[in-house]
Amino acid sequence: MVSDEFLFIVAPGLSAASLLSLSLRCALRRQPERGGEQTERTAGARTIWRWAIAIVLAGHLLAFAFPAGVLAWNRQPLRLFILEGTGLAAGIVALFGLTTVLVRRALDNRDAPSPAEVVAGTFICIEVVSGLAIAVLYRWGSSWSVVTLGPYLLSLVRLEPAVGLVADMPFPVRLHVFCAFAVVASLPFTRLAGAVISSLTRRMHSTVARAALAGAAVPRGLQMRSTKHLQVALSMFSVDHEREN
Amino acid sequence: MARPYGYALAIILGIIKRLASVPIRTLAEACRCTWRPGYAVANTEPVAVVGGAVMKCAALCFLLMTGAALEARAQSDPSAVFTRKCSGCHTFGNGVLVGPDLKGVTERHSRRWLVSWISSSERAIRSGDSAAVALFNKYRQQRMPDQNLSGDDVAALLDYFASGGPEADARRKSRRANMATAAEIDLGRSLFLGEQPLADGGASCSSCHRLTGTASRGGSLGPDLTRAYARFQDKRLASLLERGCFPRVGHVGGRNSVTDQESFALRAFLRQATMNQRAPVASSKHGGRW
Repeated sequence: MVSDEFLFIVAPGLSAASLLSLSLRCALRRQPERGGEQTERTAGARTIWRWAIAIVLAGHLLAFAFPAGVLAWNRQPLRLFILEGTGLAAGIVALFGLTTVLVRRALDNRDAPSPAEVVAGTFICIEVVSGLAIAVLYRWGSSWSVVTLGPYLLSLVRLEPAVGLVADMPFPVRLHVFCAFAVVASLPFTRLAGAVISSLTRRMHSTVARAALAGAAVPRGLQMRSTKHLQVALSMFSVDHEREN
Repeated sequence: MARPYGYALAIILGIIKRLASVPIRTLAEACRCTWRPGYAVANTEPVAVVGGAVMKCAALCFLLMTGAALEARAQSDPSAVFTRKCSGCHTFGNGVLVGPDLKGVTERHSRRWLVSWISSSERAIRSGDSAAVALFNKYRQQRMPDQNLSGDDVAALLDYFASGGPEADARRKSRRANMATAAEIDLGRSLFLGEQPLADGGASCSSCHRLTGTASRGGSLGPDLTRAYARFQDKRLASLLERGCFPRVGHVGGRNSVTDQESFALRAFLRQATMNQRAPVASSKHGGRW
């Protein structure tokens, strides 16, 4: 039997360390990554499930950032139903999209997932399924999580973990919380991390380059670095495109 | 709070109007371009429209949540204000301390005078108000410090004094739920369902618990409380409400109990629920802590 201390103190620490490694990788990287390009292209054109995941994540973030606001919002039954209904619908769409992608990846021999991606994908699926189970079995999570899980996360940030706030929760809730840490810990080892880094750095460099072209006062070193980055990215994109054709 | 929601509606209509001005096909292309950085389009204007709409929506969410948070700002509990601000120099029914006994103060002075006195006693004395000068002279010319209280806080405090103040609180503490008035039971119902916020701004009971008659509105994390009063009666129920029914943070800011008045109203409502519904105890999904 795994202790609550491991699940809700050690696991979040490990996921934070893993996230830190991703941040370091992002900060130290100078060349664009190919992994990101490939992931973006193979992810397909249908993006609705990505938006669904984004909505669910944004909802979780809002509950953590504005607990009093969420409680006030939920005071009226209609607003509570809208919030919970939106979350549930987005969760169902996200699960459908994830299942589609995982099945497609499993059937596609040319683009076999790495072991880390299999682990991360499994954890994400468990996370979404447990989230839906919570929404159905233990309703009004947007209200009760504000006085239980929110303070628990805050206690982690303060480095004074209050395990009691989550340890006595029903099994699906504890599973959901633990899987969230597992997802955060495993994502930096997947190609999705490459995609995120690639996308963020490309956006940053293209913004800098555009600002420089528009005549904004951009430091010369930063301007040169951004231009070089975009040139390398463009050449890599052209090579990949020719190879595909 | 109607005005912020009006602004929000205007922003939403603006976003819809702006998006409607772009052909749907171009819009879809722009969405794809916004989402996928490598994707190029000939016309960048729709991309700016979509980007602007996304930014506005994010800002709108932030504004609405902030508005709701402001709306939620719990009114200060007048008994806590009395303890914190007044009890150092005043008693309620126990005679003169440093300043006068506040029992019956709302009958001795007009409400308007009391508001101006609490806001700034110095100004009232300087203005030559006879009652203010008489008080100043009577209590060894010690001026009452100006209180940094909002208009709502002062009004709530005066209402509290008029309704019996700390003496009434003490009486209420010793009251049993079967002595509750219809208004107190109704207050308990509002507090249970979250229609009225708790003084500390914490989550309402219905976030986790349900009653047989309000199944659709109650949560299902905790057990059904229809028979809670029958099981625990007044004393134990009051103690449970005081310390919180679950290892949780009762208030977003850290406090962990309901006020005496809220506790009494909730007990009265739970008693009423027990009386009305003779349903068997529902099985708890959460270990039956209650």
